[in-house]
Amino acid sequence: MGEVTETVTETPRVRTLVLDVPGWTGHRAGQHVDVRLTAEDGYQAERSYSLASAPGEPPALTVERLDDGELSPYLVDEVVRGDRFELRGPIGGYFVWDHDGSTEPLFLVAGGSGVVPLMAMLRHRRAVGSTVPAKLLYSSRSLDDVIYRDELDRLGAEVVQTLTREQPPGWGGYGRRVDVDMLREVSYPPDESPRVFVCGPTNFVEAVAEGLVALGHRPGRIRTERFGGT
Amino acid sequence: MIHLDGNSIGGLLSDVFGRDVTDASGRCRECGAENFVGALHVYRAAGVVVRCPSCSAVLMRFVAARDEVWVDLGGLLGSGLEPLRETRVHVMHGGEVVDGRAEP
Ligand SMILES: Cc1cc2nc3c(=O)[nH]c(=O)nc-3n(C[C@H](O)[C@H](O)[C@H](O)COP(=O)(O)OP(=O)(O)OC[C@H]3O[C@@H](n4cnc5c(N)ncnc54)[C@H](O)[C@@H]3O)c2cc1C
Ligand SMILES: [Zn+2]
Repeated sequence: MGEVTETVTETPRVRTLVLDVPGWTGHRAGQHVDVRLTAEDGYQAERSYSLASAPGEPPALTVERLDDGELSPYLVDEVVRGDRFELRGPIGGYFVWDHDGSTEPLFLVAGGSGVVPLMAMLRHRRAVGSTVPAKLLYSSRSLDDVIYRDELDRLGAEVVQTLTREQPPGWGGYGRRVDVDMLREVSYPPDESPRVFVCGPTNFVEAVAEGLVALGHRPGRIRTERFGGT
Repeated sequence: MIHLDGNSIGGLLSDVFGRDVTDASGRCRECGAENFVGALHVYRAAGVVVRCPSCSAVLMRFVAARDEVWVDLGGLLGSGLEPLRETRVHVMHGGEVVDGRAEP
């Protein structure tokens, strides 16, 4: 069971829930939990949510509302401080980045709420004072949809943004979907052996992973986490 | 049909194997490709079907119902992945339950 101790509104559609989970033994950056909600009639639904916080911090989830979704509207709009729900985790040992003394640069590519596990990696990197070069390429629909907007400048990593639907006047970032040209301009070249993590909606992840392979990145160096949807 | 990554079923997998296996590797019986379990392709319908990213062969199947789970690892070659020997984990092979309990 996790108890909500704090909620943070990140964007009009996204909220962070900070949790207190008795017996929590800590997590690694990139891991997720499975949240299970049970209705009064016993009906159960389970979904995965990435841990947003750095290892050592209390577990925090950042959830985006899908209007026709079963669980996310509840987690974004209805849960209040003190509410409790069932969860299990931390889960996963594949889509994780540990501060382990390796010097390989870190290249992170996020679409929408796919930024959540990548943020845990960047928060971890900052918290341990890692000097591994790190770059985040982050695609959102509009400036209002950018999650963790204020913190992105304070990560000590290079953050390149693209806004796919609407760009404010004077916008200095990209204004289109991530494509091979953008990946070529932003990513570390394959001969620098970057560790690459790609996360977001399934179609986004697929397009980015294919683009990176086309640029000569070894498929085995690219770790993906598909969130589902299209 | 769209798929997720093996990583997304880490919770189910640790129910079956008793530990995190997403960074273990599995070899495909069809094409021999070796991939991290976290990188295999996961299709969710009534059950969970895990396919080889290289040739799409079915490597593992899971059906979870109530607190029990039915497991078929028939598409993996000598993976070293051993399901827990517990009454709630039923191991299947070629459509037959090999531990004596019927499929749900
Ligand atoms: C490993 C993992 C980690 C995840 N981490 C996060 C996270 O940190 N934050 C977060 O907000 N979500 C995350 N997700 C997605 C999350 O698990 C749910 O799929 C999502 O919240 C939708 O659930 P729902 O019950 O609201 O919608 P559902 O009722 O399941 O679906 C409603 C509709 O939306 C579509 N849909 C389902 N998932 C998505 C999606 N991700 N994008 C677009 N359309 C979709 C469905 O096809 C359906 O048409 C993660 C998924 C995985 C596998
Ligand atoms: Zn294969």
